[in-house]
Amino acid sequence: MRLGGAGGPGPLTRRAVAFVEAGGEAPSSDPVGDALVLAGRLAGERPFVGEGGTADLWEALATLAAHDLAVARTVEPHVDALTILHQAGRDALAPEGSTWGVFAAEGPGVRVTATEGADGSWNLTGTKPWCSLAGRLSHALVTAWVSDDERRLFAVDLGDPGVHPSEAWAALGLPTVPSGPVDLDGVPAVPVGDAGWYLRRPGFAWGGASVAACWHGGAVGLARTLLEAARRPRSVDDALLLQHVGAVDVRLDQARRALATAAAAIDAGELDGAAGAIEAARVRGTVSRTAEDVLRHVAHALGPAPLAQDPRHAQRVADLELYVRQHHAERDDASLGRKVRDLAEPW
Amino acid sequence: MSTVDLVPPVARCTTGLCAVAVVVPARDEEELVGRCLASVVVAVRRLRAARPEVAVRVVLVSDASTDATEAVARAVEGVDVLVVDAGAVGVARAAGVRHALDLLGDPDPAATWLACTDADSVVPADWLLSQVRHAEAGADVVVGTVRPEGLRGRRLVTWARTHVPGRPNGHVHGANLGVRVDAFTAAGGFPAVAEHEDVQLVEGLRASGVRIVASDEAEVLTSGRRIGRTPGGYAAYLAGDPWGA
Repeated sequence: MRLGGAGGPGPLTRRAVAFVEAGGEAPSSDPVGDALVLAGRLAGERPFVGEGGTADLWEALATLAAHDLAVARTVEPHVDALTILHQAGRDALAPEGSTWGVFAAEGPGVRVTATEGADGSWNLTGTKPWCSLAGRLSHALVTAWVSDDERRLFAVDLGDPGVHPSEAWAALGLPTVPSGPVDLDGVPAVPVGDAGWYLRRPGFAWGGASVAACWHGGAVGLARTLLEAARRPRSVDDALLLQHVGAVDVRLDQARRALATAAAAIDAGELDGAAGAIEAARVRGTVSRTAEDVLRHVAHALGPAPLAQDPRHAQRVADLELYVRQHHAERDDASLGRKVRDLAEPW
Repeated sequence: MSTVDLVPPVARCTTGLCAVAVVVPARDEEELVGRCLASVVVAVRRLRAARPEVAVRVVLVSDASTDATEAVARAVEGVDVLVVDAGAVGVARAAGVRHALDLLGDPDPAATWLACTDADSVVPADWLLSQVRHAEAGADVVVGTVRPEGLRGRRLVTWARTHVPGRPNGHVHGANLGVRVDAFTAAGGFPAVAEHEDVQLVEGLRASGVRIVASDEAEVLTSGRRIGRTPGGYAAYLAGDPWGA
């Protein structure tokens, strides 16, 4: 899937296309395993945001997402982690073939504390919420409190006996990508960047736009089902169906343009710091609305039949409905509104 | 499932391969055999779309099963079911081969390909087409790669390191094996053993000097379960943690 621009698809997108074509029409019996193998093999392609190939990376993620959101949902945090390690100058922490997650959420009543030993080594103890695939990944970047008011990022080997993932996951969407709490009990950890660097680093917001590229791909996957329906001979000139196709096309075009513009600006070095945070929030707001609108249009156009009879369509809908909730809707709008209010001349 | 023409007449075969026999042994695989055969049917459909002149038969050999394996398999369109009571996978595979070749009308063994997988496995859509392309290019044996489902953490990392794309490791797995029937017969076929029939066959083929190709183009997914149906098969290999940290 292309976001625009001249020339052919980049190396990451070509890999994603090959992956999708190899999968073919039969759903995989282990989509997460497929995705982890793919993710582990992407490191050599330097899949970093902000190094000139951002559009290629987002096209690759969108391509995977249009095929199977669980695959994109698995690959996206991995490339986010590799980008963070690269920005910190710590690429060497990722062994060949390793698979990474980024566990940076905070939750009510839980906390992970980092403790430095006398020999300068660190270990982590506490409970981290929202740790996707903690039971299947080899490594993760984990934020932990080093004082009452400051967090630091650490690299952790998830094979350590002190790592205890929870298997609880009731979601109907992304059922193969459980995202539960992990208990850490004195787990050895390697600091990545200084205290506070994770949130301050250039490009903290870019990873959030990579997630939006996945939502966009998910919306395209659903829209393709709508398009197929509109192209059936018996649907010829079905005005209501075509209205939905047109409305969906407008939404997808908005999302595509938002992503393409942001990718070019990130690679041009124009979106560091506050400008990056605002632009990423706009992209996420635009693409999340596209996803919600496409879900509604496709549902209204096609009715209950594909939801009830087409397992891949039903799964796509459930996956996208859950994944797009990583955008916190009105809360994220309010957060953006605060930033816009304080700009001298936002528009 | 829509009706598919899986079995065209053999008559028009002039060059290349004219027939493909797919043989899948199963022992108490009621839970997994359905998805295995569904994946095989997809692979057959893709092969038939690209090579409409090639006749295909799929034989599921239910060996000493005490569960609903046979019933599940009979419900899959395009699959023939053979029931045996050997209790030995080598015997089951060999019986399946004979049955499939009978169904195909004993086609020219030099122009007939035998593709093997296991009932706890899932083949990719291009599984058969990939083997047929290798056969057309002169291969007598295609040794394919497999990946256990559900690999996690370090085991997955180590697996990925020992399975570099484009550099197949050549390990023999009955779950992903193809052989030309004349070479298969000359090497003595599947030995009547309870395990390692796949490795022994390929040892015999190697000794006979035929052209063996290792390929990772069409990787087969196998169940990652620890309790196998043969004493020393792939599940036992997994339990021994060959890719441990």
